[in-house]
Amino acid sequence: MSSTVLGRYVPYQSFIHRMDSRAKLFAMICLMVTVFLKQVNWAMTFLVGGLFLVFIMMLLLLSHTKITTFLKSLRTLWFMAIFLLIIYILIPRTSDWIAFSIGTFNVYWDSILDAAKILVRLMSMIALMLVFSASTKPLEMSDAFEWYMSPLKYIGFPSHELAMILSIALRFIPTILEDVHRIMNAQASRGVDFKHGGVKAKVRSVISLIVPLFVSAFMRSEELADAMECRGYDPKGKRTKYRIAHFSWRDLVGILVAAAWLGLVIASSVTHFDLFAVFGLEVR
Amino acid sequence: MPIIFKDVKYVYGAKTPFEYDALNGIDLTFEGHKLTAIVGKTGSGKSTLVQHINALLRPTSGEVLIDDFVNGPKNKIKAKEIKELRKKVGLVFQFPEYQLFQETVEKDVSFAPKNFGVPREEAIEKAHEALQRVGLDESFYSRSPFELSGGEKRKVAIAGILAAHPDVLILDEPTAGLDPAASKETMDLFKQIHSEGTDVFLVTHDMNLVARYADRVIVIDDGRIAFDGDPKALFNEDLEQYSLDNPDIYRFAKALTKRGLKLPTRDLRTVEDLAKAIKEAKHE
Ligand SMILES: Nc1ncnc2c1ncn2[C@@H]1O[C@H](COP(=O)(O)OP(=O)(O)OP(=O)(O)O)[C@@H](O)[C@H]1O
Ligand SMILES: [Mg+2]
Repeated sequence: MSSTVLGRYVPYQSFIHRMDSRAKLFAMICLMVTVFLKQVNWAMTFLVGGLFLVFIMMLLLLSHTKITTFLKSLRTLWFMAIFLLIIYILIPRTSDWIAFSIGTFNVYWDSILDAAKILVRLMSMIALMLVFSASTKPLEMSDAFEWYMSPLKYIGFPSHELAMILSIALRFIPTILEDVHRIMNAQASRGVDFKHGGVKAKVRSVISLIVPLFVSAFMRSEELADAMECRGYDPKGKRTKYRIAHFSWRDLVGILVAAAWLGLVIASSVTHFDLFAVFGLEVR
Repeated sequence: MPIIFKDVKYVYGAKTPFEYDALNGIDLTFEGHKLTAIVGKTGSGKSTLVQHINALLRPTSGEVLIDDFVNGPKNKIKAKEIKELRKKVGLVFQFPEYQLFQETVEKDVSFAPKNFGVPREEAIEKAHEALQRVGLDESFYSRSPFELSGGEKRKVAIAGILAAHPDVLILDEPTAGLDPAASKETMDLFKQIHSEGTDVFLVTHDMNLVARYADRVIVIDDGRIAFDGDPKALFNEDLEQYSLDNPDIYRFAKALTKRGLKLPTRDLRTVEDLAKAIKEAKHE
């Protein structure tokens, strides 16, 4: 079970894995911004969104993340898709592009496309996060986070403490998943069926999992705090690093590619560029 | 209850970089009424092995037959059959105290019988009986399991399985962390339960327990069976090859033999046995 967990770090030696986590984070944020930029019309929106999805799929392949992992993470999105669609259809709008009518109620293409746009954005975000979390050790993540936050130290912002909290939280995700697994096994031996059964049985089985999980999580955190204090941990102390990250050509390439894409998308957005018009096509 | 392992292999995290072969072809037959000990060094696969007996794990290849239940890699098993199996096979986990979750000890212990369809009143009765057996009196019934000591929690957890009256009782390191007196009490209880007709499997590191209680011993090494047979035969072998220690009484007996005392060769289980043997040797 724990091996198929979403977004778990997977040790490979790919280009993306070997990028400096700070550069990687920067590139990821650049790419993420492009997802939210408005294009001149629907056709351009979906062209850019589609190209971007293809690009991220390539990143997934490059980082050895299985496409099936990505598809699995999309399963939960179905519910969201239907929900979005209903919301967008119910929002009143004025448009002449009617898809179909139910009685006097008009369903517009714009509503459907709006929902689709959000879905594409979500998919891109999920895929990007997946690439990042599968290729970056939790510790590197929090290092990057701390590095970006460090200027705020001068105005009294507890950036080190936050980074420490973040890295501990990340560190304990697999441990807690292991706990989940262990407790589920123990309760299953006592006749709990986590898969089948009605609502009442479901609630009971979830309680039998959640309560011990919280108990052990609290116990762990207390033990950890004690252990850290015993070894003289002082959040205000100055610290050195064991792993020193170096900026390499990979980071340069990664940042350049991301920045180039960001530049292109911004340019097309502000100039209301329409590729289809260039070819003389009339599109919405 | 006959239990048969047929060339069972088990791989954790198959087809991921974390792949680990925990069991490499286990062939075992359990028949007749014996108290079986399963020993081996840390990480050798003992826990993995026993979790196949109540179908918490499905073998990657091979087959485990438990009475008329087939636990194979792919065969469809109905939820009802699994429940039947888990009712028959009680598994007490390593550190079972982590499974406690109800607000009172009484409720927690009656949880398993209730899950297996015993009516409430009867389940409570069984809980009381099981608590008495592990040595916890009425004063514990309405206490919260979370305010007990570690050893008491352990006893509650063991009672939680005993209350379901399984035909096969599997104990994964039941005495780890208990004081010597409590450890002996629990082991004597398991021996008693065994003599009442329940098949007992004991997973342990403690060779003294094996010497004292087991009728048959299986040594697991690196996911394979390294030894299977009479405890006495095992103690006459070189145990270091399995990273195991001889039981104290055997070490003592060997040291005496080395110094020239001719001990009668016979089954040594307790210190009293050894004392008797020494006495006989002196009289000769
Ligand atoms: N959920 C899991 N995912 C991946 N590997 C695992 C998992 N559980 C156990 N293993 C690995 O399988 C091997 C056997 O584990 P197992 O728990 O069966 O050992 P054990 O003999 O019970 O050890 P111990 O005496 O420490 O309890 C170990 O090397 C362990 O690292
Ligand atoms: Mg174990």
